[in-house]
Amino acid sequence: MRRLLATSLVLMAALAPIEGTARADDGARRPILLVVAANSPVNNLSLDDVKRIFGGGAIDFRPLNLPPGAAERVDLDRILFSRTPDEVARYWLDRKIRGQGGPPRVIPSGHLVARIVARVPGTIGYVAETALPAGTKALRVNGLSPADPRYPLVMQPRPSP
Amino acid sequence: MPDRLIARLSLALAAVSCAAGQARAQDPAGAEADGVDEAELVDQLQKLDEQDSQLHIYGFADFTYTTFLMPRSSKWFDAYFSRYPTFAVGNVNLYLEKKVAPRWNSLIEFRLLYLPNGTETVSTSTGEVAQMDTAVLDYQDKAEVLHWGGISIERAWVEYQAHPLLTIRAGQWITPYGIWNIDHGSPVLIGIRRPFVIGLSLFPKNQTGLEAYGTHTFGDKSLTYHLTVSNGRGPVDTYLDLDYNKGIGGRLVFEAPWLDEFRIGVSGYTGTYTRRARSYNLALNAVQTTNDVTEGYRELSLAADLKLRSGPFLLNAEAISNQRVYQDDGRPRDFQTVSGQLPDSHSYGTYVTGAVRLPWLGLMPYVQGELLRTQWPTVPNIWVAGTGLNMRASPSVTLKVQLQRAWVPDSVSLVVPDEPVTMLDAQAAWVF
Repeated sequence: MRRLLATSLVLMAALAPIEGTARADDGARRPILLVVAANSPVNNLSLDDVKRIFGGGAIDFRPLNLPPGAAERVDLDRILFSRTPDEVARYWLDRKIRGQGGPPRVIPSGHLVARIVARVPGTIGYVAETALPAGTKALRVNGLSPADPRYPLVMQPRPSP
Repeated sequence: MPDRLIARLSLALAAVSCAAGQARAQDPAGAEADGVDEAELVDQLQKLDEQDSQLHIYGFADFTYTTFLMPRSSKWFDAYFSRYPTFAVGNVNLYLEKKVAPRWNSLIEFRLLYLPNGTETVSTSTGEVAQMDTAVLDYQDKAEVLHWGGISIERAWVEYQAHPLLTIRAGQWITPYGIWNIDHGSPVLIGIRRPFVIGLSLFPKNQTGLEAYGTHTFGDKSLTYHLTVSNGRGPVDTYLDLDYNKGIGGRLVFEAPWLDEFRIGVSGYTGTYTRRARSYNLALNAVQTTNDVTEGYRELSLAADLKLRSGPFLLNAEAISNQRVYQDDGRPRDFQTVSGQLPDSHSYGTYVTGAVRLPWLGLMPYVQGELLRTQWPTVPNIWVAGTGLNMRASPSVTLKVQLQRAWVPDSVSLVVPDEPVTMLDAQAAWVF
């Protein structure tokens, strides 16, 4: 009986989301949200705009990146540029050598990205969280909201750890 | 029975806990749920500001082994090349990049050189080749000989991003034309040796002046323009223009997501090259000065480039043309021609590189073909065919090996042998 109780507690701990984030990868669709400040006049971007912003070709946004290897970043790079993490690293090094500028600033976590976006005008980030802090909003892409099944920025299903 | 009840209660507790967690995750307030405390946020905001105002120092370098696969008796060794296999550090380029103010960016790139040590000059009177030796005694240690070298400023500019359609750049910049000249860094380039059509500088490699550029996007396609005005070419064009004619240039690039990458560009440049000689003569208690043109020509350069990428396949191609028309008083002497003067010229050429990125170890075998046609009577044609292997060992390290064979047919030069040149190069290039 005690063993069963202990097992249940371990199960609880394993199933409970960490820091309030729904991380359990149950195969559910996880859109990558593009977040900007709530008072930004922008509500929608085309996928080409997003490519330009996160590919170094836009001056009207200040993009924020997640660390290399972050699942959201890997998936966003794959969707936008059809490149693997190594290829993306090469892409940014090559741009620097050409004198075309470096990659977006790296912020350690999606939570911080959202909080920074809320405070620093002109910044744009991406998160795979369903909860956004006050002062931010998620953008539509190609006119589609993240809830729309046709929304193009969706994370690849990954096996649960 | 109690055991089963407790088990059910435990599972119910787990489910409630999980649901509560998800509810927290979907809490629109989010501020407390995301685990970010104010101190961490302030720290990140500070770092963001610091990153913007930081001076970024980086660069690239390469190390090359070269050997010529020709008989040791080849006349090329007497005329041009070293017959001895050689190691060399070719490029050590440093970049200083800074966002100097909102919308203002600055970039300085300079190359550290071993030159002028070893530079050869040919005496026109005796034909003797003299090699410069920069050996000096190190003042810190008189027993040690030190060879001093030089610095070449590759670019130094500041730019203002006024609008996506307009960025204005001022300073010395790399001429926006083609693929090779813009890539220019050995870790980025596929091959090891510059194609002749690039090395011959049918376009100026870099210029000093103003450049305006911008990009207009329409859907998934884009059109980028560059307009340039500069001192043009000259013996000291980085800081002194020796004529009133500014060099004017432009470039248009169309990009589309056809295949995986499709980019086509056209470029043009026109300018006047002027070299002057100043002299002071004392006559009748007065100083007479002259400032005569010793070399002057107008030039028109045109180029087109194409870059295609489809899956693992890559194709780079450039075609470049340069016409030079000498001024009557600026035509230099040329002892290799019958007239004794350098004729007007039209040089043009092309290169094509085809490569395929293999799924293993970042390997990319490639082939490259080149053609250069000049109107120099001594070397009218150069053909080059080559193959190589480019390996991106890591994003910042590129290893290459390349075999090339060059032909100089129809040469009437007394110093250009009538036999092909075969070169083998191996290179490690890295970004730091």
